This record gives sequence, C-alpha cells and structure tokens, in this order.
Amino acid sequence: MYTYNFFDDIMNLRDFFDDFFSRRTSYEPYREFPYMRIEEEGDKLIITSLMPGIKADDLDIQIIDDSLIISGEKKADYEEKAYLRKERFFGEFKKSIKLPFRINHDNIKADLKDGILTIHLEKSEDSKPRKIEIK
Amino acid sequence: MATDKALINDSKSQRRVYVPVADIYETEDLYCLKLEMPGATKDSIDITLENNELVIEGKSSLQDNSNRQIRYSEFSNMDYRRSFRIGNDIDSSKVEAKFDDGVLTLLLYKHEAVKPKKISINHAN
Repeated sequence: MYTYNFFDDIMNLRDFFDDFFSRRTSYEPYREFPYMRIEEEGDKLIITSLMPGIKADDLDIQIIDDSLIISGEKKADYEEKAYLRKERFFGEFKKSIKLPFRINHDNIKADLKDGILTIHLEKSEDSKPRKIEIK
Repeated sequence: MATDKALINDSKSQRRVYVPVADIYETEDLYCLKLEMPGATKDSIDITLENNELVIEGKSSLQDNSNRQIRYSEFSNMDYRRSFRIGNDIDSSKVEAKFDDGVLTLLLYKHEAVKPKKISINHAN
C-alpha cells in the first residue's frame, strides 16, 4: 500500500535538479554516514548499509521498539603523515532509522562483508497481514 | 563517507558511476592511496596505469533484486570509477594493491632515482 505524499514529488524534483547540477565536490548534506537502505521481501526486511573500513567489533546494532540504531566508530587507518588529499571521514557515528513495521526480536541476522552490512529481520506475528473470516 | 556521482560517456553507452572518496599520503618511498568502495570485491576491481593516468574501476556486488521492494534508500547500485593523474616519479612496475572491508589501498612506489639520498662526506686523511 502506498500513501501519496505530496513531498515525495517535491523531493523527486529536487533530486532531478541536484543530479543535473551534480558537480558538487563533497558532502551531500541530507544523507548522513552510514548510508542505508531498507528493502522488503515478503515477511522479511533487509537492511543494507555501506560501511567501508569498519570492523565488526567496532559496530553496535540495537533494536529498540521499532527503531534500528547503528552506532560505532570508524578508526583512522593511517599514521600522521603528509597528505595530498583527505576526503574520508573518521570518528564516531550513530544513526537510527524507524522501521516500517514491528519485527521479531528473536530472529535477527547481521553480516558484514566487503564494507557492506546486511541485517535480515523478520516481521513480528502481529504485523503480518491477517485474513479475517466473516462468520 | 561521501561519494560524488559522475557520468561516463563510453563509445558503447552512457552510465552513471560513483566516484569513490580518496585519501592520498606521501612518504619518502611511496604514495599511498586509500579509496572507499563498499560492495566492490577483490576480483571486480580493475586498476590500470597508463600514460601517467591511474584508473581505478570496481563493480558493485549489490544487484537490483526484483523480489525485493525498496522502501527507503540513500544510495543506488552503481559501479565505481575514479582516475588520477600521476607524475613521472612512480615506478609502474612496483605497485601494490589490497582490498579490505571495502577499502582499496594502493601503494605506488617511487623510482629509486627520485628518492632522497643521504650523501656522506668522506674525510680525506
């Protein structure tokens, strides 16, 4: 089900102009590290996040109510040397996203590979669609 | 991580790619490049050094999946490409690359001739 939101169209228009003029050299202010994606596949919810240079030990994932909170630290991987270019971000981060529905807390799988974090979640029983019989 | 987008006009097609962010450090012996390419794999990365141009290309392992419905996304499944102009001081036969946790590290060694040399003075007895 999709609820029409007037602002979605406005955002599309903004993206169109941003793409057209995308000669910007650095940050995109409306997105914060780490970039995330939520996908739905049947009763499953798959969350993908781009996390280059982050080790699993430095990452903390929590689910509180229907929010997913990812926090951690991206540790600098260089010694203090003369640099010619410095574009990467390092430091602590915390990001929370609201999930589209409640999830089953017992069945959560997370996997970090090649800088991509994938979290597999399952819908909780009471958020699954239920057919109501008419008696 | 911040990544720019770029439009590549090949003879074949026009495609959008991500320009990975990079750090470059210099020491006496080498230049060290670090590029963030999450989702690329060791085998999908191509590094070419030709005519003083270093080109790094990588394919993202994230693929569009028609079974999945995207609810929200802050990035798209695009490949990576970035090129650098490099000077004559690089020894093209001595380049090391490794890929860990989505970060590509390139070590470009300098020619022996351009490395700083300490000259000792011999005492004439």
